[in-house]
Amino acid sequence: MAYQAEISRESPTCILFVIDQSGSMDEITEAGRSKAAFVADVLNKTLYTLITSCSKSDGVRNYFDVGVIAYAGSQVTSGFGGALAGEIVHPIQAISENTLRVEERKKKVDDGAGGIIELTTKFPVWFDPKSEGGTPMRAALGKTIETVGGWCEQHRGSYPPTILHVTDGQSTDGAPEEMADGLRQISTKDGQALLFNLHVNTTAGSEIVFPTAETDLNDEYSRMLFRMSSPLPAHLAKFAGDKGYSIADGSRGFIFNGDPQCVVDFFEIGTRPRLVADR
Amino acid sequence: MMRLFAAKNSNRREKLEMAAIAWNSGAGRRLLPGRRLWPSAGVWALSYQAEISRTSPTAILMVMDQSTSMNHRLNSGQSKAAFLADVLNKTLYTIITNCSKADGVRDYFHVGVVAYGGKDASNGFRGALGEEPLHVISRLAEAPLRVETRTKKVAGLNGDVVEQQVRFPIWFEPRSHGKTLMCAGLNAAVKILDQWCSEHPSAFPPTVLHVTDGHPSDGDPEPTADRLKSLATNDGGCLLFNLHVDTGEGEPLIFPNDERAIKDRFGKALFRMSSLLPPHALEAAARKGYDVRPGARGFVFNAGIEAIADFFDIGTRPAISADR
Repeated sequence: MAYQAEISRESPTCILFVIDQSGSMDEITEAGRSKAAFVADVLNKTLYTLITSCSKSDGVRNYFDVGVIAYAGSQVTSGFGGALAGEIVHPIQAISENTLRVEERKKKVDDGAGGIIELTTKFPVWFDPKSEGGTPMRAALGKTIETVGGWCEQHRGSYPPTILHVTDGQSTDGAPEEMADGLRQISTKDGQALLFNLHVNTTAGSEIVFPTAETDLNDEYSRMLFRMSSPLPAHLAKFAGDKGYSIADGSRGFIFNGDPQCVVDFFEIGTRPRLVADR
Repeated sequence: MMRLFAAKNSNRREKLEMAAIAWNSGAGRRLLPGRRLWPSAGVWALSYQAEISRTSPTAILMVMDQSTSMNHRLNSGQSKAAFLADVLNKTLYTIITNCSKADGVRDYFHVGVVAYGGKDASNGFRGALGEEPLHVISRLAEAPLRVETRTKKVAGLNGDVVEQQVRFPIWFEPRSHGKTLMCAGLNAAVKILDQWCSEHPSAFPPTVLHVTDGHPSDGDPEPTADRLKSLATNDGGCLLFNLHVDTGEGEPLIFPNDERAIKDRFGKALFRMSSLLPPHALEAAARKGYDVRPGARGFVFNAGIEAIADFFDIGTRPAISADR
């Protein structure tokens, strides 16, 4: 059975975010912010959550190797800056020590007695939004194959890598499907790399979430993204079901026309590999 | 406390008058043939102007969805049901405080809660209060289920947040079980308020705050909502305000004036089910900084915690204008 390996410091897993930063990501969502800014916020928050989940009394434990691949124009680069910019993948502990900056954000929260209070919270930033140029999806997935392939060679017994790919448009450097197929062929002894695709949109109400082959996908583009996506392994399917999504046999890790709520849920579901050992 | 006309700046005055035009030309308003529509105080005086006093109280009825999905978490971490119960309890406490004078709690309001979920709609109060659908506010003040001690975050000096122990009376408890029996819930409200209106023909009309997070599972609620809004006293039709609660991701749509702003089919229906905001609510919304446009409805879609709290606050503030 695949996707059963325990995640531990000796046997970490890999989470890779592949983020479209093309020009169209500057479109404003119903929430009044650009898609790029919203996705960056969710990614930063996800990184912080991963760090928190690895934080024990003895420090941040390296359960995860994490990387961000950003693509736009003719470029595929590390989404990290500063000391992290040199390599794509870093142990989570190194990420925790190398933020770009820590912002102060205002947040309204429940005051504990039926009211609201505004708090200032620290918001660590590793990844900044950008949006310009074309959508070199093929090149980005090529870089992902290289990264994931190298990682798997060195971690044969690990839970396989999870790739969360976020895009809002069509590839401008050729068909990405065969690259995605190649990526999903890469494996550890515990199973094939998982590729989950999130297609974001500015308007709510038309999203297709975790479809199966039978779900009505109206155009060739969404059908291709569907084919590019891995089926949800059992533990993630259950987690998605607990969040209120209707999940069937064969549901893929794919959201089409995702609204902001979908973006948040996609990141949360996609970064939930099985419980780690040695907690 | 409540200024209806003495708006501070002319912009807001203008906005309110524009809203009044839309409001008066809205469907369901009976106008004398040949009468010129003009946003004068005279037109407003037709409705929602009755003084609220001990001899002429008004009614506030909350209709609460307690279906299973209400156990989903808001992005603040609490379940929707738990946070809504907190806000409702706080609202009841605030109403009581506003009615408290040197001589005790004055009965300006009759208050009730209808809860739907499980297999039916039922009284949202338990114990002694569960036997009647509406209670005078002084009775409510005497009979909370219990008084909890809560740790409340309050703003201290220098932007610090400090925690305070506060006493927090509970009348209504969170529950989340079963289907979304919205028609049953609204029907119960029709029954209760039909009788109340016939017993209080000259009172300020009842206000219904309906809170839901889902699609009705017992049919189309629009006809029932129409019946509810058609109940009236001499001072105007029953007000139905709808609050659609979501997990708090994404921006809420607050007091929209155009159905087309809502993509969701059921959201559109809730918009149509909602009364136009009357002057006192327009004023309260504007004071909270909301940009209320002509034709704004008492409806919030996709509400997170802030919009939930504001909805309850704005919706339960008809002016207590007499004998204060």
